[in-house]
Amino acid sequence: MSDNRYARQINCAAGFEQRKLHDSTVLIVGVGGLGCTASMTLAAAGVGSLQLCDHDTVSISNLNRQLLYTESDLGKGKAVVAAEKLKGLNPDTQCIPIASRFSAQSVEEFSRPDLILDCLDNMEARKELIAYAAQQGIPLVHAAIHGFAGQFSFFIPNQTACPFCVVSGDLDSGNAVIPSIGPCVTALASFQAVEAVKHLSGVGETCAGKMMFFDLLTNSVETLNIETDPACTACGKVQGGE
Amino acid sequence: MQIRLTMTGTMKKFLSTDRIDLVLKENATLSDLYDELANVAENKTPSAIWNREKKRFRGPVIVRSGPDILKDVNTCLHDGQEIEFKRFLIGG
Repeated sequence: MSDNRYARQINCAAGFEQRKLHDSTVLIVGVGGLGCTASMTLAAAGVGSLQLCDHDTVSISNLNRQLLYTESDLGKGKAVVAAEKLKGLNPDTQCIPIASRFSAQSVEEFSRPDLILDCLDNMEARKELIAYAAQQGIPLVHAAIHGFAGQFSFFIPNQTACPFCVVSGDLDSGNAVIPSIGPCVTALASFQAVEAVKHLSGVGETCAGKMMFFDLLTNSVETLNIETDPACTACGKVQGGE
Repeated sequence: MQIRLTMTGTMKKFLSTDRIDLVLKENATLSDLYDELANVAENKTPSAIWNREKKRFRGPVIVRSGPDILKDVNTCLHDGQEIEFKRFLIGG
């Protein structure tokens, strides 16, 4: 680990320890808009190991916001391409591609992560991921976007509410394409990565127990305090004590 | 009884309004509210966000009244209550 590489961030907060980042493993599920930027910033910051889970391949419509990929990557698997690019960004970071849909089975052969980043783009997969985090007791940072709007939250199993604790209605949103623009996705992924860095390095306060909403079109920010729902369809089996 | 709905975030943009006032029967529930919302606003609501068969918003929503999150459609409402609808975002 080169000290010079991290010289500008050593004093970024009282108590910040680069070693803690270096000793950490983060599972990033979804290496699309959010996952690209989150993984880039965490690799650059010196997180020791990134597990990159995505079954998808790079398509031309990804390139407006998925900053790890270029036209020469079209048709290639995102997890493998991302791992290669991130190794170039920071050789200190071990990057492990998991080229499959997330499931408990798809990640079981890899070391247990210290943190999970939910960078997914659909509710069913999110529900499975959050249920997994709850069952395994692994903290999770959630983020999602729609156009210029975004939200994020930090879930600590058995301590705070998960994102699904506040959700009602139909999880199926139909087939409508979700609008997505690079600067907004990048901003939300950066907030997600900030939460990760704070948690892993043990500085500052995460937004655990809160959900943050941003409308970057109007520069409005809203904070919603969220409480655990024992009947939550994602975390309830664990947090409801069943 | 009178119920005021406020639409925030992307919900406001979809519906092109941030406020809908409804008159409901006494002891109405959240389910009754959805039924009335269908009567009043269904024709003005894009199918991308409103499921006409189920008379519910399509996709996940956050429904709250003051600090309380309302998830159970059998939740009883009261006169003068203000209820906020916000879309839970999905994209990544």
